[in-house]
Amino acid sequence: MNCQSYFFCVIALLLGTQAACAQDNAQGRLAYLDELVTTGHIPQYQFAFIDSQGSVTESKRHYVDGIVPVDAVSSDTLVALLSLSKPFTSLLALRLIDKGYLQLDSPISDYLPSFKKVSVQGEKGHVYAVRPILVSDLLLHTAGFAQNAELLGWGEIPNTYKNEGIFGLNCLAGEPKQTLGDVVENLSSLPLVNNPGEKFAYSVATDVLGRVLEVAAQSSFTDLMQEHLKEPLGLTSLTLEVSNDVHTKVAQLYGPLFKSYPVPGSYQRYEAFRQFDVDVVNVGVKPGCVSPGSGLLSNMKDLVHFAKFLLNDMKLKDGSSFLSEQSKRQFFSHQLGEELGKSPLRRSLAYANKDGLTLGSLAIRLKQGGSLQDPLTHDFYYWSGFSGSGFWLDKNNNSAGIFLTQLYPNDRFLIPKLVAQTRAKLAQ
Amino acid sequence: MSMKLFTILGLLVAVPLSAMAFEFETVEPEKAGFDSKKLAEIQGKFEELYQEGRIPNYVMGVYSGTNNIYLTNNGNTSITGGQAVDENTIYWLASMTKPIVSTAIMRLVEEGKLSLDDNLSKYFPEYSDMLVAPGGSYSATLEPAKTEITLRHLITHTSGLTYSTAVSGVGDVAEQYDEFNVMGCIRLTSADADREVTSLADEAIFLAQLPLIDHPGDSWNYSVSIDVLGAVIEKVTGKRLGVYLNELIFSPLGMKNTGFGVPEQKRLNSADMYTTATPAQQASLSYDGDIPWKLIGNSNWDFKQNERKCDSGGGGLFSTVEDYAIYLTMIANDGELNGYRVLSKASIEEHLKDQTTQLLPEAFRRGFGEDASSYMKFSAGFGRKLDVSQTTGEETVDYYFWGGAANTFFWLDKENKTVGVFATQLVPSLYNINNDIESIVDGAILK
Repeated sequence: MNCQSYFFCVIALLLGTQAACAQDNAQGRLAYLDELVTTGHIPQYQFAFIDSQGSVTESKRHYVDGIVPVDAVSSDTLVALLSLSKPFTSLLALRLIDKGYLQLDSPISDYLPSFKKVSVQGEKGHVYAVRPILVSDLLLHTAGFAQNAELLGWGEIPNTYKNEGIFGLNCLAGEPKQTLGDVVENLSSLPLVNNPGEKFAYSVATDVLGRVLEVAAQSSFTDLMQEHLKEPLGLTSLTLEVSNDVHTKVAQLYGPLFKSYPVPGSYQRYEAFRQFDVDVVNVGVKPGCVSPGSGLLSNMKDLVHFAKFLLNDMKLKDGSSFLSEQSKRQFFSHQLGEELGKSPLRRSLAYANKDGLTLGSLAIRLKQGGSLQDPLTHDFYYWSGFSGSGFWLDKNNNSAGIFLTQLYPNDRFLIPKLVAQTRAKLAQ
Repeated sequence: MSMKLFTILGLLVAVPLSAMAFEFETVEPEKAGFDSKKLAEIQGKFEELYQEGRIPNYVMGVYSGTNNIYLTNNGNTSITGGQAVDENTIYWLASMTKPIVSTAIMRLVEEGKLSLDDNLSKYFPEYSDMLVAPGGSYSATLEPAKTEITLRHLITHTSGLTYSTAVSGVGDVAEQYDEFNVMGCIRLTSADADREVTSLADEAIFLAQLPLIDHPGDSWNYSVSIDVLGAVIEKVTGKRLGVYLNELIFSPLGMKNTGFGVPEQKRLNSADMYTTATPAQQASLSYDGDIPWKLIGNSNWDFKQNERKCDSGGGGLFSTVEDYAIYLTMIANDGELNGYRVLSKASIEEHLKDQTTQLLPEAFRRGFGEDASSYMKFSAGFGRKLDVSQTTGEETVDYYFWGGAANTFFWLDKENKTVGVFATQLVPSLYNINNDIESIVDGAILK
């Protein structure tokens, strides 16, 4: 923030008038994001762009209003990653596969025997699955699991997950505390929504993957993450649970606030998230269980570091590669079979169009007229959660962007829009 | 049939026959002093939302005096079929019920049957000794209310009452409203409520047990206040609210499709209720046609078939764009339309004047946010959107307005007797474009 704008913000705050102030580099601003904040649609954002030279431009903005001041966040404030947890867990899984703890094509029942005989919900009752669930199914959401209704799943089985407390809100913050093993064991007794391999269905599969890793490597997910992901990559903030002494560095999570009457102007369309049973500011403060698919927290600093690592061909400090060549290829290439159709994700993720999916939990957006089978027509990788937060990797231009906000759920699918706007800005 | 009932029915039939039903005359905008090209911009605002599958249908009418100068509509009563919607399609008005009930209160004031300065306890003594949970929070000690609730507090939403959490309610108190299904005349299926709703009077009495969220008169909080006024009307008139409104307003003005609930024979002409589908729902639903619907049926908020134990003055009415425009035109025309007078000119002035003069913008912030609270006031039943001169600070009324939870809205520009009414059926309320549309109409006035 330059002196002049800082002065303006201080004056505006003193006067009690509406002002959204930021401490950032104006060059990296996207007017569209600022407008979302100033019109009260999102509480705040942090945006980072990594250009082809590796330079990082960060911008952020938060809303200031007289009633519920939105706390400013900094690049080391912990934010809930929610679905952005998945690429981290997927990367950890590939690392452990490379180390020989488990195999991609192994049935998960090799590690979790209760999944030996799984049933599938059918029109005439439940039937046995036509084939076992493989580890690769967990990475690609083709296992046949569903998403908990509390976390935007829909239908009978998602409602059962909700009633049974399987990877729902209670797992992110709530009581009583359950182990990952307990929750997955409970899940194993419920039918699948599809046969394994039959369809892409966004689900709790990444959570189950976390438990498979625990059993395969005989260690807790937290310890595995520490030893095999955080330490080699130099990530400092990634965590599943926030200890008491750093509570003040956790961003507030918000939920939508709907006015049932018209307001002739802009207003805060969100309020502190109040769906948790416990009184906490965000995910992970008192987690009810370990959720490798939705329960991680991190900060912008680490996410920039992570994006640079991915852009840099996963090279570690010593020059070695974090993943084997094969795993790396799978991490960055479309992995769903053609039998799942030309829009494999669309059935489960409405905004995904004809996007593809890698083993790294990255969606692939195609260029105009492109095809999933032709990597030359792939435009960029991205992942985006239901909080609206997300990131993209533009490997063709060696650049990346990270957008974080703390509003859940948020029906805005922003990443492709931000890619287009960033490119337009760069072209100016 | 008893003699008394016979007499009541006779009156109900006699009233509409006593005057020719009012009808708007459709005229070219230019004839009424408006630029048709400018007005045509209105359609684009709604058509975009419709074509993106965000609203199930739309009807927007703009009226100047007794002329209909603009009408745009698209879609059907259901996104999977039904009849094409138009100015006579029945929609749930939700909170657009409130101004009409407020008008009825002003009529009773005019008749000397009550006063806005009456304490609510005059009608319901249970309200003589209220407690306040500041901000709706139960974490602080409850305080005795500094003053009694008056009818003026109720009609301006400054009573300290609140709503359920789903309708902008505040704090722990709002959660108790949820728990007890307070004023649940139309919400009879609340999952948590095991308390049976019986009558408006009983609801008003029950509500007096719950604390207020602020001291009466101190701040603006959207609330069940108008439902309580409905109970006052029933007490004073001895009639069910729907019967009284029908006698006073709907029947004489020819608002033939307005009432609490939708009669079975009119249900085919009433719009279904929708909500925004989650991404998982969107991906799983498949609709015919070209529109990428982002909607799913919303039975939780579709009340047209519900049995009603009472008439909700805060949100129970169903009506059409045309009927509502008739009501607003009566207000714009100083209380009279087509030879029938609902209110005197003096009562209309009282109805529309600022009843919150003592409140600073801070009092409106919780309800309207930082921006709008600087140019919002409230009359006896209507929001007052002000124009504030940047040079002199002088405040003039831009328009009177309100809306409903299903994304319906209206405005009334008293100065040029222009009214606009918009309807679709989508809960929650997402598209806050009343101000934009009113600005288009303002900009279309030929100099």
